[in-house]
Amino acid sequence: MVYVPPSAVYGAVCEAIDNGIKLIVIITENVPQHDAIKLYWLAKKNGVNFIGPNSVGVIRPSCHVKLGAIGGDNTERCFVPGHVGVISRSGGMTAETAWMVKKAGFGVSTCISVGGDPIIGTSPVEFLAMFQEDPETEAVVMFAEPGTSFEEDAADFIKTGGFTKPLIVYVAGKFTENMPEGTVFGHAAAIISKGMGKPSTKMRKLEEAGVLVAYNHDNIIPLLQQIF
Amino acid sequence: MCGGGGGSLVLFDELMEAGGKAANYTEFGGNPTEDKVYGLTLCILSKPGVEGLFVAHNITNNTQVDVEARGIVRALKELGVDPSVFPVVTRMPGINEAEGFRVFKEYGIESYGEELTMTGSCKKMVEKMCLMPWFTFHPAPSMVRYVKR
Repeated sequence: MVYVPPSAVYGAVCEAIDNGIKLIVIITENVPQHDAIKLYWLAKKNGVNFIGPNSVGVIRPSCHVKLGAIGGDNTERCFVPGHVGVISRSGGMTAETAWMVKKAGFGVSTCISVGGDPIIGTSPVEFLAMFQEDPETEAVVMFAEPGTSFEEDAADFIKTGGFTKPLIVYVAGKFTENMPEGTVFGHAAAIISKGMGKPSTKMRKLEEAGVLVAYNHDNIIPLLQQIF
Repeated sequence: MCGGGGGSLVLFDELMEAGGKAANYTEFGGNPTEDKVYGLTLCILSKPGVEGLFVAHNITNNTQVDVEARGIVRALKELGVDPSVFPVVTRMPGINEAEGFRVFKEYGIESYGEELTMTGSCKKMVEKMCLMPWFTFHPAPSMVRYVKR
């Protein structure tokens, strides 16, 4: 777990890698992008997985295991054991999405906050590949935001047969398309620039790949009930 | 006033979808201090033409609801805003929520926790504003629909 200020993250992660740690969660927000790029390749070279930066953590309720502040002081409120995986680009929405799963009458297998910075260690596609292999996970709910190409990549990954379980995606920030380009909304990665990263494009590509797209946030509940 | 990097995006989308129109974009998540919330509330309500206050966020992992509630109520008191005339709706589940709800209730503010979803809270805000004689209803944005409802 890395909680140090942004400028010290690079050193802290290098130290962890040097000491043979294989899974690192970076909580710190706004890690310098140069450092993030260097860490990305350093981790790949050493066979290390890192989640974040700007992640709130990871939780697997069936094993009573969590890393980070995820769930706060009352994890059972949102995270009940079950068979739905959650991948979220927002820390807070990881909890809210898991709570929606609970409200629909199901539980979660593993919930991951992938991090809100533009350069992150493990992308949603890599997590989809892990969920594909996970026998406990029968479906996945993904929370997406404007910016980056993670959702477009996920659509391509599904088209090539990399992920075959049911997937529900909610893309937030549709209103940002009517705002001036290049404005950051919330997370550093949530930015539409040069026409890239528009929620409408993401939703269209995902739907073309056969993903269940929730237009309203409340739609996640009926879509989940439709799957099971 | 919405909290959470992703949560604020959801709430703004849903508020516009419900027929409301946001006067500003404020993301105040990440466990703010009482003074910060107080200052933000003053700032938002000082904008001319603001017809209501909607404060909401997702279920928080580390943000203390009671601290936020005290900041909001302090600003409303100072401005002399009467929640029985000026529509204020809050949906703030999370850490220390019971104390937060008590602070809101004491001042007569409509406050919700997890009994409402995020979409539900946006609908509630617009419903409340519709009761005001001066409110103009804004139809949902003309986004191309990719999903059959």
